[in-house]
Amino acid sequence: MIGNIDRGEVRDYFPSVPLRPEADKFLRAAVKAGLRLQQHESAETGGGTPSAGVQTLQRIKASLRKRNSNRKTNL
Amino acid sequence: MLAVNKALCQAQKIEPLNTAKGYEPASRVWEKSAQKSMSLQEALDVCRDCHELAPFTFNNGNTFAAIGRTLVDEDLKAMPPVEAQILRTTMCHYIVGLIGRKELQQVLRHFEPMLNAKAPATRPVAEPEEVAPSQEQRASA
Repeated sequence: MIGNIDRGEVRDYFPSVPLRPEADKFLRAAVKAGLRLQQHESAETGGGTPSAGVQTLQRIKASLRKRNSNRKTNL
Repeated sequence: MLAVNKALCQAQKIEPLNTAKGYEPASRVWEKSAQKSMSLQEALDVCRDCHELAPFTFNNGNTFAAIGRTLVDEDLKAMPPVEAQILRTTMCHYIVGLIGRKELQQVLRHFEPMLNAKAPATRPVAEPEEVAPSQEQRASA
């Protein structure tokens, strides 16, 4: 019966989804989980390699630096 | 979601920026969803949809995966660590689009007896966590 689960049925698997009054606790737990994911990702990529987004940003910065440097040379 | 993304960006020493195209629609989806009670599948779908819209410049995947896995953290503590990790990883992969609904349901179905055994019969259904944006974090650019 694979692929036959109703959307609402999954709720029964996890009846104690965090409640609203525990928003702070949830936030702290989510941040902690996110940081753990980051560390895991960093370990997988060898620690020193930035993510794709950061690499793009670094490329843009390098390009701007180069352009500014060329402008100064031409003046 | 803003607070989680901000914390993750700060940890990487990068500015937590929002995207011009994805932020508004993702924010609408998130705010609308935060107001109602929903099943786990629906909550994971919201995280997945928001991730697809890519509201942030950085850490979209980690932000929504972290929120999704935290939703079930308490329940997974009662499970054996290996099985709990399989479920956590599956949910995260579903949110970031590495697997589809079918694969998620296959894994949930596989662990159904174990999950049902852990769930008390008389426990009331809880309302999902409200993690709607509470602050404006629009990038000026």
